[in-house]
Amino acid sequence: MFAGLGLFFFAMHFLGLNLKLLADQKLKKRIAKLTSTTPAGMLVGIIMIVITQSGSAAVFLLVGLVRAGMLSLRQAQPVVLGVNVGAGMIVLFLTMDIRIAVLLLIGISGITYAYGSRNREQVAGAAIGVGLLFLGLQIMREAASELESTDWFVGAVKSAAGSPLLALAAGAVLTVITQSSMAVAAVMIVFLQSGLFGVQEGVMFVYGTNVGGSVIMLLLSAHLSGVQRQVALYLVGFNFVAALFLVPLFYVETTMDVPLVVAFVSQIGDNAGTQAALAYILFNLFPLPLLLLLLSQTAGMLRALSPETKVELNSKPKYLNPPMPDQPSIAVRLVELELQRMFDLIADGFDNLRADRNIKALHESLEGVDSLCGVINETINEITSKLTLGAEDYERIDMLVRILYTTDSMRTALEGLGSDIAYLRRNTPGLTFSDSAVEGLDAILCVLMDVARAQDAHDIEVLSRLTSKEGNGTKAIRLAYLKGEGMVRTQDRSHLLSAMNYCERLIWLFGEAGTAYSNLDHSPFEIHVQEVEEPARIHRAGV
Amino acid sequence: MNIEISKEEKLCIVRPVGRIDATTSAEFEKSLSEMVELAPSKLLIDMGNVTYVASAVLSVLLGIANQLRKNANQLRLFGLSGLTQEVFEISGFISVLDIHPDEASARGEVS
Repeated sequence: MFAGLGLFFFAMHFLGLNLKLLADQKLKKRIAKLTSTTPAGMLVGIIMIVITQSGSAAVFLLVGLVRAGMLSLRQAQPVVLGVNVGAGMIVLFLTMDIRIAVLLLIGISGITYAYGSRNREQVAGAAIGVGLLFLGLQIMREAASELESTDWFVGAVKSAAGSPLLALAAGAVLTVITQSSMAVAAVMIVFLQSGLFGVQEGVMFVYGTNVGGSVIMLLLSAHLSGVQRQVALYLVGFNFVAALFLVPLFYVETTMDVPLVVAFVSQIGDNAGTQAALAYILFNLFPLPLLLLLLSQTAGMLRALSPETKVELNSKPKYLNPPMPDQPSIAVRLVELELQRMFDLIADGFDNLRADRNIKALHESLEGVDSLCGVINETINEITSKLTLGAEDYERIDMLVRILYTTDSMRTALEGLGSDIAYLRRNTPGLTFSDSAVEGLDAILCVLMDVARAQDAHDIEVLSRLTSKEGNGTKAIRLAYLKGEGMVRTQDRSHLLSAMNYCERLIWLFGEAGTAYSNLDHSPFEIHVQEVEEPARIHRAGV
Repeated sequence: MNIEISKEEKLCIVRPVGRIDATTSAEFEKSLSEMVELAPSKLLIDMGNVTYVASAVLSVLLGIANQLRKNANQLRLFGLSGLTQEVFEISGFISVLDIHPDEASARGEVS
């Protein structure tokens, strides 16, 4: 069970990583088109659950797409609804073993990953991620299925016989243990067919499995934040809404003798197993009309429950949203403004290098840099290939490309510095090099950000001094290195040396970016964006 | 962080004590801005008792120096040591701000 859990989390990370590499603008547009309408999104969800045979795997696959910036919450909502509808539809086919298919998938994609062409590497990587994800769930499920033959498991099921409320609790608890509501429902069908349970306990038991599914989702999504958590919470909410209505309705039916769900499934299903499966389907269809009507409202609630993280907000393009303006100068100006925002993410990265922060947060900031860098890069390609640029615009875009590449190099250096600093903090707690380097470099970055925003001559001059020999930053870094060298164990000195090199490189890159900005004339366009969703308003400066 | 402020004719001295980090830099900036409004010919900051200085503080100091410069006034720092000095050196701010070894030197030509 533990190995399966470990494999599951590794697969989640590996899948997200490879989807991110795959997530170019074309693929994003394709997925956006595929989920552009609510019915199309639901169909995608049904296909996902049919393939994965697990609600949690399907939703975490969806979380991977959201994490890679391929889907927004609004696009993901109908997919989650589709996942639940699909789960209800395939519950009868649950006894199928997907292990062979999964192993085949891992085998083929593993060979393609190792020996295939470079451009298929990311697709194969994502496929391995999917395969490992299912394998992890399958291992957990198999470990749990052994419980079926244990005395206490059978005892737990037996104790619920005759008590619908206990059946509900047993369904939830057993689902949490086995990690699959559909698998527990399938086992339940066997118990029902053997006559251990009556239809009333069977109905409540399958309700319980869905509630348990939500609890699993809550537990597995505890480490998520922002939009990824919103998607996971949507599934949780779906099941709770269903339980909130259906459980009271069950008691209305059984105590007041009003024919409702139990009567309906008893009339349609010819055996207890089918009746339980029908109850499972009903549970997953019941909240659908309400949630389809309230897509916007629930999206608002989810945003309030799990607000977008700072990195998510910053890594979303603010200016480069389609359609691209026809006028080249305006398109180039939008690229310039978006490029300025990349420094906010680099600054976030520096913030996450401070002693009280988590290195994981640095990686999230860097993922944001990658995402925004990809958007800017592809927009520049689009501008140069589709628009007719004048000499001035070409010169300007050439300088912006230079700044973009410099910023991308800053990201790489920051990642290396982060890794060395984390190592040094763990192994040499008394060393001040890390703190002074982070604060010192961040101070230069603040000046660079001012230069990027206003291109003020005085700021440019200050930045030039800070990053030149006159600023002595490189010399100071070396002195700080020498001061710390004695405190660091011989075997750890390579990390201090490497950190020093990254610092020197960052100072040089800040200077390079500043020089590029100094060559950039003021744009004749002022662009104001009042809200992210609103299109940018463009004015010619001084008008 | 505590801030002690003393005013003399044409001169203000700000003496922060402790850590000036991201959370206390706003308070520090507010104190300096209040001093700038008094238009002293020299604004002196004693960094001798500052144990930690965040990057945001350096940006604040640069901004204050620019504001004072517009009216031909000056910002001077003194007493830098340890980690604080290292941050100023690595950032290169030591070359763009007017930094003195001690208070007497920072007071300089003040009559």
